[in-house]
Amino acid sequence: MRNLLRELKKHFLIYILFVKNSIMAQMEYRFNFIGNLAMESGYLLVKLSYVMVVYRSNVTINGLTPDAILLFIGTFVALTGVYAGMFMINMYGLRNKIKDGDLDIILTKPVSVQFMATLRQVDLGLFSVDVIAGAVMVIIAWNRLGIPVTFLTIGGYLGFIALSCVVSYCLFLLPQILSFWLMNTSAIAEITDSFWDFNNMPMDIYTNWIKQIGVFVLPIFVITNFPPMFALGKMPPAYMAWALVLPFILLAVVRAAWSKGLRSYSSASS
Amino acid sequence: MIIQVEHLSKSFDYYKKELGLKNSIKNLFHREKLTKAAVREISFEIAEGEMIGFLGPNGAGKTTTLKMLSGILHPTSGQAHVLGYVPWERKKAFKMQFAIVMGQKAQLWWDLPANESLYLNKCIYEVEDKAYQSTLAELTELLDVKDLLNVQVRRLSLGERMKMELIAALIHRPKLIFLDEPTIGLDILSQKKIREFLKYYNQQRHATIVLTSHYMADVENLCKRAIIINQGQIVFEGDLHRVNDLFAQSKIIKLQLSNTVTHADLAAFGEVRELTGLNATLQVPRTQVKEISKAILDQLPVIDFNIEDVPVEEGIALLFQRREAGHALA
Amino acid sequence: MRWLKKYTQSFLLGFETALEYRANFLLSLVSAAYPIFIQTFLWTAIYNASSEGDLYGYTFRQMIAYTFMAGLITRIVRSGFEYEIMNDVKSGKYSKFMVQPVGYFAYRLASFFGNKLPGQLMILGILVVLLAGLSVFWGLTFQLASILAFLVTLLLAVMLNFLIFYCVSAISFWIIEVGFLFEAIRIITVLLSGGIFPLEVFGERFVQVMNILPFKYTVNYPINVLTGKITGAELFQGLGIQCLWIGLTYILANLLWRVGNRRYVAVGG
Repeated sequence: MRNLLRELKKHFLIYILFVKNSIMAQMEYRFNFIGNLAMESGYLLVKLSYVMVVYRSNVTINGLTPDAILLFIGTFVALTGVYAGMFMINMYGLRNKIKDGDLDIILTKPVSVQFMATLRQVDLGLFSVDVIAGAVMVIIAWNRLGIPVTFLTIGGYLGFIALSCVVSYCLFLLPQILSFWLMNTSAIAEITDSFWDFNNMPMDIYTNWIKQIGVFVLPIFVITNFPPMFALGKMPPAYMAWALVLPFILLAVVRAAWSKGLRSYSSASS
Repeated sequence: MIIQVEHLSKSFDYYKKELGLKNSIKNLFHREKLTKAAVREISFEIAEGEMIGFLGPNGAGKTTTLKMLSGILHPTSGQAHVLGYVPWERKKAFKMQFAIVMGQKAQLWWDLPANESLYLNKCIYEVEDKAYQSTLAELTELLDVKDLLNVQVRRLSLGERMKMELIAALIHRPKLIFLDEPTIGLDILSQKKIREFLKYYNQQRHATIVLTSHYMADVENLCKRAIIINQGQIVFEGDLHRVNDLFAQSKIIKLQLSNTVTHADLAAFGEVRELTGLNATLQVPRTQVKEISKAILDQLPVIDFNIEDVPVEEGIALLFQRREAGHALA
Repeated sequence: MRWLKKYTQSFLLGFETALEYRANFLLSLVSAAYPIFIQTFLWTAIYNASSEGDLYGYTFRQMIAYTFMAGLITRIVRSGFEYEIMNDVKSGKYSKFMVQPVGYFAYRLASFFGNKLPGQLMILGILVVLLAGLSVFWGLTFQLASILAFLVTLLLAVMLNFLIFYCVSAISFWIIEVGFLFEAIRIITVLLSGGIFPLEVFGERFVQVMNILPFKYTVNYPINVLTGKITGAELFQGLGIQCLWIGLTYILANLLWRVGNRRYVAVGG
């Protein structure tokens, strides 16, 4: 236990260095940084076009008013920042690292290889655009909906956000682990990446069986639907229990797949 | 023994790729899987404090061996113990004690000053502040890069970058160091500096150093013992300068002459390897060196006269040819 | 015919590369299906909740048809060569073209079509299946004249989008790392071209502005020609604007590339 805590502390410290180094490295390329901001703003614009459609159509979908939908979309946008800025860039890099044999050095380091290979890069641009925009949308929606601001609502909402981060890390890392066996996985990445956009709208727009698949089989809906559902007081107990169990199941699966993948790492021998 | 290797083998699977539109279409449906044996049943031992070199042409299996010893690759079969650990189990205690530097793979953050990466390694290897400061001071002093710590790595020359890579690898004072082509692409001066450093470090710290190189000079200057690998197998192990003992049949005689002589004049004494102006090189059978030398001195206008071994490179080249021809070694 | 061979060569090379990545291409088609899927459900929910049968001038069935077509046609016109141009300029490979008789523009155009053709044909095939399905099951009708006009406008749309992004790629001469900027521009043009939602959704004023800009003529306009929303004089007016923009972007591309070349030489690429 003592040891585990020490390792956690060490990894946390190293993570802070990763963040610092990433930001410093990014500042070296200002145009790239600005381009990055532009790209993410472009995507944001597309997400906002959905908001626009919802408000202009002004309909209540399965009991969700446009304001409630805005809460969902805001949550989605904010989590997109976390996913894109903290996870996705590493996962794209991971594919190339495996292909070019760049895991070599990482494998010899006395820290968790998975940690170092999948969390090393942080993109401030991607992260901040979406997290700020998402937060603004959530706050606006929260106000318009008149959800009480209590420790329970805010704390619960943020707690579910934290669980969502774990779920999205695991869920989107899994297909990338395939790179250990397959050489060309950019299409897989493209597919799973677009998977993320399923959360663009609340899952209530889908039919019931799609909803259940998206919650229990391919638990993609868990990520952005559970936090606002909790805030709106629309969380059934079954979902609540699932939300607490799922992150641990996924972490175990990712861990197993990762170890297996690493065994067949071929280091792109020169 | 710090490293013990027994019957270690590694093979890779790959797919056959043919060019052309027709084959692109063919590959849609079927791809031929091939297996390449990179390392075949090699065994050797390395003692603590030793500095040993792996030599061999590209693709001989040097790097693959090194990667297995550092735990990067799982072998297909065979065993190895390094520092008492099985490397590919990748135990933390094992990782804390060694370092690997690869000439073609950098660990420094490209866009940051080297000291940021060094500090990161300090945290990764749990080095105390004090030890970190003194090691850093010592290494930068030895390699003469003190002023470059705050310069972005991408702005450094290749040689400076390699020095920084070395520092990054040694910051936790490893007992065992693997170096894969540490001087590749460097200018002569940097090569020399790095060689001197490694020699010094090996002597002062009694660190075991295993290095691969295709520069003969690296291994010749640094390592008492060398292991030569070709096509995944060990073809020679021992003092590099004794490679030629295996082929003890020939000696080289170098001559400087006062007058020009014809090719035919020289050919009477042995095989003429070179004749340019007043300089000539002959290869003669070892058993007859004495007689032939005497005859040459008697019959040719010699100013200077030297008897040498066949150069190490040639001995090795000969070694490879033999192996490829399928001959067993003596 | 030797000069032609260079272009056929680039065409074949592009074609081959595309086949090489066949699995990736097929999978990328699947990923194109996701937004269609989401939008379909969104519209279904909206039309179900709405009391009116007609929203933004589209019936429910027309809206779904639009969504599907927009997804497919965005794929057909999509460029992607701007990254290759960026790399050519960055790596100095572009220098080769400045001395070779192969014009870079022609080379890009040929390899673009070579690269895209297998995919485009496949998407067109899907479109045919879609049209058949829509007319059999939903009773939507498509006039032969509309289909023929659509094919013409589609070809022009591909050309226009090629030219727009050929202009955009010229940024490579000024900014080295433009990859993200390209993506930003791409996604915004998709939105403005009506590749996600019909432009009418965003209001009258917006549509008026879009009528003047070129983007609409790469996706929204061909679709409306196909569905018969645009016919007669309006169709020819659209064709005219399409051609006008092709001309304008061609001139602009020439201008930008000429200035860019001068900079490339000055910087010593």
